[in-house]
Amino acid sequence: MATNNKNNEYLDKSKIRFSDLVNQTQEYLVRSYNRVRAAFTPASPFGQILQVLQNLTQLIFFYIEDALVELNIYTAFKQRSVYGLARIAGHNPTRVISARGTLKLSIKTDAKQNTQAPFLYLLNDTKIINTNTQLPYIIKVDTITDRVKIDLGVNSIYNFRVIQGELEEQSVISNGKKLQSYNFASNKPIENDNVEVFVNGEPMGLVDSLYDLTRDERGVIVKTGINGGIDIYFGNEDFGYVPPNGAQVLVKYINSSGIMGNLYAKSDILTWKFIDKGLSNIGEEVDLNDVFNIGIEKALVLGSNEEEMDFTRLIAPRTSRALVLANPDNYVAFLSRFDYSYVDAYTTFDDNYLDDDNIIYLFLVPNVQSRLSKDTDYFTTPEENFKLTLDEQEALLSYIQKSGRQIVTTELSIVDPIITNYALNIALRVFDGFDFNTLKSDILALLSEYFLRVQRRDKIPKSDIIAMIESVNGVDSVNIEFVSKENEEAITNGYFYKTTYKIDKIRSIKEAIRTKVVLKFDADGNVIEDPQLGLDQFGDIEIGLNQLPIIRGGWSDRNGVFYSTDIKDNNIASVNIIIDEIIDESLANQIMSQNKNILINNERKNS
Amino acid sequence: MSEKTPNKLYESSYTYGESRKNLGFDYRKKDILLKKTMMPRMFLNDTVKNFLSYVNDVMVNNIDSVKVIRNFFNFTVKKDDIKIN
Repeated sequence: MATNNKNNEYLDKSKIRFSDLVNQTQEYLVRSYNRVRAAFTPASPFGQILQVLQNLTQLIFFYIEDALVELNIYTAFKQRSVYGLARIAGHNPTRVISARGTLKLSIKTDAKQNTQAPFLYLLNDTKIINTNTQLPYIIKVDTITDRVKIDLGVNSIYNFRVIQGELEEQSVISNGKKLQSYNFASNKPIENDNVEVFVNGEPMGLVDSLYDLTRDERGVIVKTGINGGIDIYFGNEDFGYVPPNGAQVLVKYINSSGIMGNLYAKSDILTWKFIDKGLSNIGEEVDLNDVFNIGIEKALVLGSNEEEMDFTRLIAPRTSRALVLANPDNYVAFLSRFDYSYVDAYTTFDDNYLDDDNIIYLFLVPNVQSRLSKDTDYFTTPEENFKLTLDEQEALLSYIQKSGRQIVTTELSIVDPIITNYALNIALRVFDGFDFNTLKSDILALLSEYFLRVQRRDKIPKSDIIAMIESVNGVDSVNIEFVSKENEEAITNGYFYKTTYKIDKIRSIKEAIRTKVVLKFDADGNVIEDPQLGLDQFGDIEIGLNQLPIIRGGWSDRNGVFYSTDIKDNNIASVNIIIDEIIDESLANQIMSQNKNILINNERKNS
Repeated sequence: MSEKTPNKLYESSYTYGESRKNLGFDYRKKDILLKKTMMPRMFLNDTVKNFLSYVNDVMVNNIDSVKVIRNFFNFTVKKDDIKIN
């Protein structure tokens, strides 16, 4: 009671629900001022103040609850919280990685007339925009003077390294203490590998650990921020440099768009616009759009989004602090930051062939989903999209080398996936009343999604596809069959070639032996043996070493039936959907179907 | 560029020359919280205005103290640092 409470504690601590607190406050005011409750409606100034404060206090309660929820890596749902907690566990989450490539700048024929200058300087970090995507890029001029002289009288072509993103910088003032640390917040994702730190204008080297720094070495540790953005850490004089009191610590970083910055094509359709100016011979600003024609010399690749939060949660407690790339597992963890749908690294240590024991083979399948152009899907996208281009391979090897983590004796070899073609025949029993075209497009969309996401490297089971198609509305029963191009060709030809490897330890030679295997024929000359190449005894797709099976036509089977690449209504293609039987959707069937769904759902819940 | 208003006596002298960005909304600007949430007419009366100014500071302190919870596990900044987004 307010009047009886000597400390004016008008809030009863046993009623600490928000609505109770509000009611008690109002009762207190009614009693204190001896007014009716209606006097404190929002229409009155006092009532309005009360209501605003109530709402603000409620928001503060929410903020507190939110802040506490975000302190647990398993309940946190904000990326910066998960990343921050992972940092404390010892894992440095990979931030967004910018696309990088090379731009080709050729001088326009009328450049000299337009600028009225004999030459100009192109400056480092010149900003340029791709007008198709409206994303900014930065031209890097790799010279000591941070500028390059362009002679407008000579019709030359200049190639420049380019990186996607926009530069931003922040600075703090050093307090002169040992082991200084600073956090730099950012609303946009900060690029993973392009952070520069300067102390009073002097550049600092980037290292991964305090023990990588020698006494007073000008270096700094840059990590993903515990509270978002990035954190930087200086040394303690014995290990690394201590910025003096009052020194300016300047940090330059790139705000990146990640995967969206990738430009795989070198097409002329892509147009560019300089945002920053160049400088003429007398120091005047020059519009670079009047000087250069711009094209792509090397595709802009390697752009990736920040690592998935689920991946961070998974890897945070298990991460290696060593940060070296030594064994295949290290490579798999390192390469998972890129936009690949499948990453595998392996050695051939056990094959008795010694010469390649220091080679780590990287089997990488790009994420085809992010390469689909307009109006294409898994079944229609070009086969090249399933492989890394040479530019991408070069960029990746260069990235690994520049990371400085590779063990000296190891070598890397990126293995091209061997694409194996399959067709898929689907026979359906459906309920009456369902539109075939809708059914077909639903199934094709599901299959496209499945094959884009599937990451198994041993088999693709028929049962996966059957289970998926069964869930489509209107399907009662389904049967499917994979047809392997390799197998059909073998049966058509009557033979196939089998490759085995023989290792000569003395001469250190690994020899590939190609043997012709002839199939069995009957008296009429017809092949009677089915070698089941690319398939197992269940008829599931069997995936060999370095193989990448795709559902794609463009070949004929043993009976001469041609499987087309285009999936149309009236042709035989890589996916053929046939309705074998239509059954009435009677009440008994509906009940059976419902029971089946309940059973399946219960099984899924229990598992 | 957004610079948060320091709430300590000597903080300005330690941080003079800093250029920080992306620090989120600065609730410590003069009466900004209540001005954005209440009827402008309330601020025409000087008595109410002065009273609201005190209330504003109390609420802003409450909001900023929530931010400090986020610093409990962050060893890169001081315990009462509010220069976080």
